[in-house]
Amino acid sequence: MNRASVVLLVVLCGLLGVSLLVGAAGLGVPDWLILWQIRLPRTLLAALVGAGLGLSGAVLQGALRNPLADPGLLGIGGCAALGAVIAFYWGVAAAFAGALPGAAMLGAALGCGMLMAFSGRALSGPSLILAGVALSAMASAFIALALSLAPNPFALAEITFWLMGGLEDRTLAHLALAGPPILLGCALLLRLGRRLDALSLGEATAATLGLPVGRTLMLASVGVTLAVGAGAAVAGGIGFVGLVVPHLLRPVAGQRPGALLAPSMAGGATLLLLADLLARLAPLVLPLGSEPRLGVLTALLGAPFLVRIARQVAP
Amino acid sequence: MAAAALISCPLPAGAAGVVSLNLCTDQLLVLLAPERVQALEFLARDPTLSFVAAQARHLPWVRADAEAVLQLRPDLVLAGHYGAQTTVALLRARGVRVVQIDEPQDFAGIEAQVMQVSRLLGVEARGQALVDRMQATLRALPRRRRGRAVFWEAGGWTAGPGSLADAALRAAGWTDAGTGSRIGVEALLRDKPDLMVTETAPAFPSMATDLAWHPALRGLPRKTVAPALLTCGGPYSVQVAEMLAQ
Amino acid sequence: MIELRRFSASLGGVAVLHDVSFRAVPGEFVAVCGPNGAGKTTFLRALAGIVPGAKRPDPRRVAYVEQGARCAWSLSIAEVAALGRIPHGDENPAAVARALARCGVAALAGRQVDQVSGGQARRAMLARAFATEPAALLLDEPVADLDPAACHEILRVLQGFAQGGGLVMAVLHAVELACAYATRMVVVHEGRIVADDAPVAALPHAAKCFGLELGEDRALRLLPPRQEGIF
Repeated sequence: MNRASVVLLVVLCGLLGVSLLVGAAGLGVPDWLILWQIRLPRTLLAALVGAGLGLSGAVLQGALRNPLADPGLLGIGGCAALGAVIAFYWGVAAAFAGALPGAAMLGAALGCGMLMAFSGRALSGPSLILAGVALSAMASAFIALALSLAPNPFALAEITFWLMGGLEDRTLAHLALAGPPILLGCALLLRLGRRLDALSLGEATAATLGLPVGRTLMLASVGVTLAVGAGAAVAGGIGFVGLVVPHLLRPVAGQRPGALLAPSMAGGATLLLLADLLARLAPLVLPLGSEPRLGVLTALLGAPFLVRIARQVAP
Repeated sequence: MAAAALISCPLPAGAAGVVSLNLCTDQLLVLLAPERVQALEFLARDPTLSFVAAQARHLPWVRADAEAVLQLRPDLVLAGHYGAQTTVALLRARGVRVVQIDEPQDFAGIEAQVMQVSRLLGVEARGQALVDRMQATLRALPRRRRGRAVFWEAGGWTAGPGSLADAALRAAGWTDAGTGSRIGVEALLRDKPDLMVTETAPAFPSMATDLAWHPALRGLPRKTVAPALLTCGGPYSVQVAEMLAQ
Repeated sequence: MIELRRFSASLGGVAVLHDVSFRAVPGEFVAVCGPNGAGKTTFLRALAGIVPGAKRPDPRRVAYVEQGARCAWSLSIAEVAALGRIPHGDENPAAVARALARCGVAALAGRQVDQVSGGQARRAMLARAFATEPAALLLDEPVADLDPAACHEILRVLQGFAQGGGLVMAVLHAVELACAYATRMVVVHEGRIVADDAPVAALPHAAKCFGLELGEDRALRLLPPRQEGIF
């Protein structure tokens, strides 16, 4: 593990501690019930979901050879949220535990599959991003449609959660549902380092280096599906983490895709935890009715980076 | 659709037909003069929202659409101040008599409204009977000071001063600790109320109502209320105060 | 050592190679020449095993550098060369250093591959192939954008590799260079091998494919110092 990862891990541990001390009940050590049932699941989920998003972004960028790749921007997060919406509002999620993240993972798998198929046609970088943005727009539209058709008359009001994410009032049950798939997905993705390095020379050359290209892309898809799908099921649609974190870490950890994986995982956890802390602090400081959406905070941070990266990428 | 329903439920000869375009007026109409109903709004049949859902299911309904309503040639149209405003304007332009009713925010308001609508329909006696029963129920409530209570609606919104839920709490002797804004689970636990009142869980899956069953809230004393009793203030709303006073 | 047997390939429905058979053994420096679109690249890719239907050779023994090879990320030249160890699954910095030195980019090892000249980047890609320490090198236009000195330098390295027991197959546009350095020339025309012989013998066939005439003239050339007898 290189230095960047170690530093990030230390910062992350610090933030985890701080996070347990911040909430609507005020700053400082709270009641045991609040700590255990509210702040702990929320803190751990922010770290886990963020880790999954950061690592997925790094892997997608390596696999698609595109610095603009991000599970939110490319529509994988949106497809996952769509799967979750359909499962939740039509009662499938209540049928058995695990149905909700399962449906979200199914959505993410479809989104991933479509993206890999687009990439296989050797589209140029910008074209791939366009395809991803189109997929994301379609997913958002279908989420809105699904919510408006849901048997619950108030479903459409919950659209901001599904499109822009949030971690308020998440429970230990949510942690138990999303934690294992995210960890499994991350474990899978972390092992793809050298393979992604080989891919930086192009799929043809990578094949001659002995890399099973198709299988590598499939493994990347499975890992991203697990991490992003489970995350979207409990936290809604959060984007830009997978875009910003690898970009910020490249000057420090190096340009090799393999070198970015572990740091991006730690960096993603740190970033989302920070955003969540901000979301909790904002109502304590400003006259806000409710917490700002997590996805809004990450988008506010990520959009300028998107512009900056897009200008560096040759047209 | 409205025409077909109309044929199946003919009006008694000589009675004036009334159409209601608003859930609250629907319920009052059904309680006071169900035989005069020409058409109600669709939501009146939803048991989650409407106290008179069972009866409403046997009565015809109409879309809040000027064309559909005009086809029925009603003598009186009842509507609220929100929603269907364009429909109301069009109906008035065509000379139909439309009366817009406020939504009451306390028991005195409910009484006034019941009397207003019963006068419109010409059934003051029935209206007075409902009001008398309401007042008797309220008078019979035990006069005991209880602690702090919070009425927690879907999505974490608390009923605040000036709302019907607040009136019910106070009538039962509770102090309303709600603010009218949204508070999260943690904030609720910080100033633990002595009673938490939530709506009964609906039949459909909903994130907003799931929140009331957050594990961290299991320790709080709780009573549940059917949302239909408070969505629109009506004579039935005193049942909430009754339940809270037990 | 590497071979194709009656191999046919098509790209997007158009036949690119027709029933091609070929065999090469260690010690040969084979130049693949022919007009644009003749199928030279597909031929080389078939030998490398990345055309559907072709047999995949052992990646530790065969290294392939594609035409216009580029790295997606701004890696250092040393990191690019180190990618050549992936088939072996080890780091072996000694082999990487040897490869960098052989291709003349050892001094640039720390520079980023997108911040050096095109020729230097091309050499970095070659170093990657050498780092694998393969038995055979399949190179698609390895000297396409190198200056004359670098051209000769790299071709000499390849020649040395072949003389040392390796096998080199290189697509070369400059037929004259092929004649100077290669031991064998394969002329590909419209998906078929029309000549496969010592360069001087294959030259007339190459000329015919290009629609040019084989002629001698006394044009001035830039030659590496003390290299008589090349031309």
